[in-house]
Amino acid sequence: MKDKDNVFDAIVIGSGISGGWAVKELAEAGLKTLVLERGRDVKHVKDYPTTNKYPFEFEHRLELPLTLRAENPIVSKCYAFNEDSAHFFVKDKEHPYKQQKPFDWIRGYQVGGKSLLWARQTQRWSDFDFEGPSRDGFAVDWPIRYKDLAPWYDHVEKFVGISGNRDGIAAIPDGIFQPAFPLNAVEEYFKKVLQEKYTDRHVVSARCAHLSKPEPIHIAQGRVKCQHRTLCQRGCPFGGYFSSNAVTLPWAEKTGKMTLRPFSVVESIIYDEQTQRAKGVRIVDAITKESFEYYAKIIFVNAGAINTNLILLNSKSKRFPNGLGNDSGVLGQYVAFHNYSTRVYADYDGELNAYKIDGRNPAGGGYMPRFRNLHRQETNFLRGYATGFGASRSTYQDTSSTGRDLRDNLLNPKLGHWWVGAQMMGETIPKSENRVYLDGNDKDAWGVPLLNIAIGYDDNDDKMSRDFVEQFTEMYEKAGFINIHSSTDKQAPGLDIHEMGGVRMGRDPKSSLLNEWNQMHACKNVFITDGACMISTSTQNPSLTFMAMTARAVDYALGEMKKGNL
Amino acid sequence: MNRREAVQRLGILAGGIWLMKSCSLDSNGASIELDNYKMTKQLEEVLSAVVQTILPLDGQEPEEIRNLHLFVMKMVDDCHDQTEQQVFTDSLADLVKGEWHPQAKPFISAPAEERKRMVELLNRLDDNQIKKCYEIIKRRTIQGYNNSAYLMKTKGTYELIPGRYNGYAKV
Repeated sequence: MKDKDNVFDAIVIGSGISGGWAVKELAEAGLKTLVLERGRDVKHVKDYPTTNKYPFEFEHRLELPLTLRAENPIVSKCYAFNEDSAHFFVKDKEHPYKQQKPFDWIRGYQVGGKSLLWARQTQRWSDFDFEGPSRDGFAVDWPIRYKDLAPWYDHVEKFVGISGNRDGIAAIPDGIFQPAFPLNAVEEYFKKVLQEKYTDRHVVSARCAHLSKPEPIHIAQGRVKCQHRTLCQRGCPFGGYFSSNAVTLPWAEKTGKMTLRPFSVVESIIYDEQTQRAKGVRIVDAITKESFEYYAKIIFVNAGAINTNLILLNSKSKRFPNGLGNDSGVLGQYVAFHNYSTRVYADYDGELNAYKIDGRNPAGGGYMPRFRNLHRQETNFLRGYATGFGASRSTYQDTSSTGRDLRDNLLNPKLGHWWVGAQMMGETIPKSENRVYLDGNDKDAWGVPLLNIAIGYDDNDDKMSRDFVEQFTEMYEKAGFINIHSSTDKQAPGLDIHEMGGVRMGRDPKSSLLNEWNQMHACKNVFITDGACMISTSTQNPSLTFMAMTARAVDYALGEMKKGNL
Repeated sequence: MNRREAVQRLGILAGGIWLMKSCSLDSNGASIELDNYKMTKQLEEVLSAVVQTILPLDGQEPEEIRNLHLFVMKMVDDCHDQTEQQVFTDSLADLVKGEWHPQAKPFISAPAEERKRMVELLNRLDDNQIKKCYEIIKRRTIQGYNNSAYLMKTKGTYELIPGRYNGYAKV
């Protein structure tokens, strides 16, 4: 039954990085907006219980107890799942799913979602990415190009606060930047070597969502400069990095237009056969298991790529028996990810041994945009990879002795050598067989069907990994690095935490679900602006693009509402 | 090791309060609550002696360093499997008896120089059960020491808020 308490102008499903942007833009425009979050509330600072702790204040000095690891074989693989941050991750048993192929689904069910945990890398997409599927023929054409998104990248970057240099590299267009966190001595050296030896390979300071020189808008958000703690996964009391909790949600709350409902597991979107619009959302209270319905004129689905697919697949009606908006039959298909399987390491020994590192770099070091197959197809695999490149020099302790010698060695660590590492971030090809789907046989604790996930690597990924090793071996040799070695650990898809697709955009409703405004072709008041909307993955970390797409879609939706179309 | 002192101070160590179990004053019980294996007073005593021989005190250290063996016990309880826990306690019993090597002697009653000699021997041993136990003790002792408030704050080895980054700092 509708009453004033369950009727809103807009509903946003999910409070993570894109949901936070949706509610901020909607509430600022004066829309009474309900945010549904399946997890608990996490208030900025107040609910960061570990944020100011030293390592010795943790019972196991940041190491995960064996029982916790044994009970959570999936999430334990995540680099950020540690004693200081385990409370922000979904444990394996809390929300099961069926792995038709190995898939490590890493989730953060709380207000703010994974925006508390993300790696904060923010490189723009370019037309090399938007034109990729049509040029290389591996997916439907993107219905947008860089020029469509560029002003929205500007809009988001100003508010978020992005550090970076204006590097003038076409593959990663420049944006609105605060000063970059500079490269260190060996990273800068490698950058210069590549400039001398190649025309197409660049190392830049990784652009990231950390405040290096806050503008008045960031001060107004209650944030200050990043303090180089690199303890971001605990939540930052300084607001040094961007999260929904620190920025968009408090901003939306100040408008007085936002209603946040934690512990709300969305069961489905309710379709009205008469109006041919979605009329609301059916939820199950995560604690009481009671069902509730909420109604609104427009609905933004930002549950996180896989969960957005799940909600739409479970939103069945007479009009849409196979999931909301699924006339094309491709809902849940063409899911892709980033290939993070391969790394190449080496040591440096030379005149830069006169330098060391002091402090910590929140940007993580260098970033190399894609150079393979950029302007034309030139290898035996499609697309290419970006690279996280970093150099480091730490101290070490000789622990071979015992007694006073050992104590002296522990108290007087020695400076180690410089070493470098390159982490592959490869584009994978979306395919119909890489999909998520429901079979209706089993349900979770809230009565929602368990999702089947069938996503895997292919031959293109293997070829790309081999090329990565070959290319970096060559580049390292040209730089004079020594002890070059590589590792390929074919981690399950999902552990990259860059899953995308399943509800893809496209020009043709016969092969896609969303139009160029992230609006459902067949249900016009529903917008999907998280990772589910993506046609291809590019090589860049995707969150910045999700945020820009969200702001753009909200702007469009507001315009349509004014025109009376929604 | 002063076990009595450890008990009296209720094991309030960095990382929180380790609850004392009800039998903590029992002469057979360990000073801290253990969920997954049992330690007797004697095993704890020999562990403490080994830890302080691996990493001797200079007299200035606070309680958390003097009781570093409690951290070793805690980590063995929570971060090692049952097999390793068995190796740990069996080997500590061997150290008590002093029959693990022709040159070994009962560790607790041995004078400091003798203890030092036995730890150096353990350090040189080839792989066997007591070596595995020794490696656990040494690794966890170093971990506890490196991650102690004493080193991180008093000796200044860790900065919670560096507030800077310089990739060209002169050596």
